[in-house]
Amino acid sequence: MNKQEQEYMERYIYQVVRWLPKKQRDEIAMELREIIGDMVEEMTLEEALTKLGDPQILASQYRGEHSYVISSEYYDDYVWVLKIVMIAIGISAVVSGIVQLFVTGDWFSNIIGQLISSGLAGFGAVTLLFAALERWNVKVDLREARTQTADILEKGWSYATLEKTPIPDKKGLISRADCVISLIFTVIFSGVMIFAPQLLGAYVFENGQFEKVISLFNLEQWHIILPFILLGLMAGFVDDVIHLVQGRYCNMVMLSSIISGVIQFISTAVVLKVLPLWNENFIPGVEQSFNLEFTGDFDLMTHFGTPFFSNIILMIMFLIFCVEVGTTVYNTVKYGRK
Amino acid sequence: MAEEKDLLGNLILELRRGTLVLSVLSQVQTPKYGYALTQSLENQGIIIEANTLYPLLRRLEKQGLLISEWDTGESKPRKYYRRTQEGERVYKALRTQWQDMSVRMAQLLEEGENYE
Repeated sequence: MNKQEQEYMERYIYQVVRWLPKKQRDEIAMELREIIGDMVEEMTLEEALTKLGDPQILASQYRGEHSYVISSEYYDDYVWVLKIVMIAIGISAVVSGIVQLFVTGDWFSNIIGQLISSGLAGFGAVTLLFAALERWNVKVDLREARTQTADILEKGWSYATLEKTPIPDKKGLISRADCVISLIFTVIFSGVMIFAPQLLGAYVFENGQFEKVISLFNLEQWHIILPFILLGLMAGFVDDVIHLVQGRYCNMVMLSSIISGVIQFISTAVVLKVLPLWNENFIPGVEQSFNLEFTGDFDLMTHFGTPFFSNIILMIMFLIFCVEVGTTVYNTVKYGRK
Repeated sequence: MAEEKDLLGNLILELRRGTLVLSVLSQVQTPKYGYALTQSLENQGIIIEANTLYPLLRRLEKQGLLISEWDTGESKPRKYYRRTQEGERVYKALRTQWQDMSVRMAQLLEEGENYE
């Protein structure tokens, strides 16, 4: 080998070992010098190095690492989590786009920007998480419905486990579409409550021109009212997520339904009965703006903002609560996994 | 066509990969250095890419099947590999497995041919 070839060989070796752990570098460099030295006795240096190929690939062979970020073992869970995160991001982008539309009138650029940036961030975060799990070899099973029983996880599958894992009754499964629709409404409603509660009310037009909105709610006290509304919505949100993740009725879903139902009912009761939720000026404002007068017991508007009105709503909420928790308990007991 | 060629290439590669360790183990009863090993395999028609073989030798050493020693006496320092006792046992077990498998495979393929 002439001087230039010597130099090229060293360059090649450097490009291999720079990708390797420090303590292996010297030894592998020595090995490579030996191998290349032997090879050039029968071929040119160019042929020898071409045979050894791309230094980076050679280095990865030396590292003995798998050349993937997420192995097939994790791939299913990865795709599944990614899907959920992407759906959530899509929904929140659409919702914030709708809210922006009301607030600023420009929704298009906002929604696209939101989608791109939060989409990328979500994708990156999920991928990073799974790459870390892969690296440290942490096995998590995210879908309880898939893991069947703890017994199988511990002892591995055997013929006897079939006894404990019947095909689930279809009625025991939770509809994903229902959960997603419920989540979308929760998010939209939360968005409106946070960013634009003033949108709910009576719209006053004068000569075809928009004049003002008479709000249903007591916006002056909104900073006290809002947290309680959000608490209820959040409980509902978590409950829906748990339903979605579990995918079928089980004790955890039942427990979550009961807890979230109680939280939602209490927060509604507090908002309706304790806090000054309703705008006192709503009825006078509407009467004045629309030249109306609400009289008589059978005119619903006379009752607006009264305890009677709140009680009716609370009663409806209570019925919904009973029906929801009731069906969940019924389905869990009848079809759920014990 | 090109796709079929790729597919076939991949399948052949996979088939060969399974025999790699056995091929290498068979050659290192006595100490051999890297390039000599390539040569002796190549002479018998077994082609292993250089960038696969050398890292594989290190891996087998790490697994305890091979042991290596640098010979610095010559003009050029050389690393010699040979089978350890454990490598010996594993090699013999693999060899039996292979012989068994090749008999069965031959039968299987012959049967297949009769149906053609």
